[in-house]
Amino acid sequence: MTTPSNDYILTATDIVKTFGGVNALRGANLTMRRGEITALIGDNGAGKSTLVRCLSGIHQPDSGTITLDGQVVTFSTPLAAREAGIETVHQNLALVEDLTVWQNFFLGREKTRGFGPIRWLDSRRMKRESAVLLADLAVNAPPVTNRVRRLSGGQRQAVSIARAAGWGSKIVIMDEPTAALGVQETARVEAVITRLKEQGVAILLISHNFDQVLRLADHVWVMRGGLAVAERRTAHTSGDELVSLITGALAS
Amino acid sequence: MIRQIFGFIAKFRDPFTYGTAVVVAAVLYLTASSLDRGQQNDLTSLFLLMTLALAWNLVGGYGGQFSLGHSIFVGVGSYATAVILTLLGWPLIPTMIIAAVMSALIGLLLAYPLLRLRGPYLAVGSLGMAVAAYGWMINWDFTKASQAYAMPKEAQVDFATMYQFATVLLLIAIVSIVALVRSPLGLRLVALRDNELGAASIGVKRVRTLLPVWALSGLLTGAMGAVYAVQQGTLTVDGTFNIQFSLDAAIICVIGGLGTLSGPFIGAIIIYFLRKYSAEYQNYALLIEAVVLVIVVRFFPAGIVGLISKGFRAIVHRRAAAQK
Repeated sequence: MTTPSNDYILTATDIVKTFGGVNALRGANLTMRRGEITALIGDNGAGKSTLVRCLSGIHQPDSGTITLDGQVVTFSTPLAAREAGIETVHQNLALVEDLTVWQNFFLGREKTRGFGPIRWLDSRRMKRESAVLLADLAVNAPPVTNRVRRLSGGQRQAVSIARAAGWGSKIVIMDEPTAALGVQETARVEAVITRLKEQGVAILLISHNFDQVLRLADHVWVMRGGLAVAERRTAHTSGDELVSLITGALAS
Repeated sequence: MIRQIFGFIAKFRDPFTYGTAVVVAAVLYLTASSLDRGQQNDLTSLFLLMTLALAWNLVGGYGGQFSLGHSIFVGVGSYATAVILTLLGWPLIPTMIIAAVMSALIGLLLAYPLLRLRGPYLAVGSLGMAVAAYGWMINWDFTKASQAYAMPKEAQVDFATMYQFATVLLLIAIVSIVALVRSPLGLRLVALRDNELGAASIGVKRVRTLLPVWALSGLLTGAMGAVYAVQQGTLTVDGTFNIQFSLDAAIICVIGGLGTLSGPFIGAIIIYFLRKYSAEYQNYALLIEAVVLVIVVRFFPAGIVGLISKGFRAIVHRRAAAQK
């Protein structure tokens, strides 16, 4: 059971990961509080992606512990992380362009009907459920029978995020969700992220955009050289301070 | 009103569903006695070609794996039928079923190593297996090596029965393929073809998805080989383990439309009648077929089904635009 004092949904302690002679992570720490957006920033090569991949089961850390909801967890595959409630929205979106929105939504977790071992797709139900989930999150929700190929970048991102959020997940990790989007599209995706937070999902946001981090996140972790060097409440920090922390001009 | 009609047609542009399959098969089955023997034989050949193309389309069209190894399944299905009938003397229909199951097992056996390969490498790998199987059979004394293997008396059925076999087989192929395409497996199959990385990242397992598909394709192709053996009466390695079967299936699917339900039917009808009526021009027949193939690939690479559905969409959109 979780105690009231335990308000962290996820803690990662002393995560070490080496690739051959490269020490990608040298004992990194990270905590995420319930219902908050936690941002993870740092220069290229600071270890952000490696840390995130350890959390989402793509990499297995050499040492260190990950605690999810008060329980120590180890993920051997991305599927294991997903089943534990950690969904990841990858930078390359991982949508199948030639399938429709609802097919992408339920790919790998299809709803079926039928009897015994003879199953077929319950497309009516999947269309209905995905339409509801998508409409809950996004203002510019595309019709779920559209093929992903015909969607804009922002709509695709909304579909990816809604897919990640739609499974009762505890944590959604987003790797630069607005990196390739225009101003208007970025605003729409940010609205989706905010809505997701309002639904009580903890979000780990990786971003290079300080304005965005300060606008959206409640808490910031800064990484440098394979270590998490600083944490700040966004309410008590500024873009300048974050830049100094990233470059190492300011000691934590 | 007109717009609604066109919208309706556009929605149902792939007309081969369970219902039509049952109706078509029932009609054909009941007309078996009213056709003359030549027509029965012709339709048997056509239905076998359709079954072959449908089975290949599962792997090559929906799965995106350009197999050139399907001649192995035809060969296993036909030789297994002949050998079981001769040595064990089983009744004909159980023998054909067992032959098809053996072909499905061979399909699993081939797919397991082949699934490490992708794209052209898989095509070459499967071609290598087909050539190896041919080389084995042409030297294997158990099946009389390169000599003809005559089907025993029990396998000699009249044209009407043969035609009914082919019809039932085609019906089984349609129903099982429609069922597969509409199942979660079908969705994962198409997702793996279009974006393997994306599908894998949300938990679709490649080998676990593809093995049953190869098995079903092998089963249907093997059954087709069994009926083909009954039709031929005498088997040769050249006539069954021939790479031409894989090529025919691929050409039919490309012309009709890869990865569609009706593509193999349309392609098979075109190729069958093209061959039937161009046969008198001898070597030019191949040339005519090649020209048709080149025209299709150059001008409508999605095949005839792709062209038709594109046409419907264009009409529907134009109607919609005119109404605004």
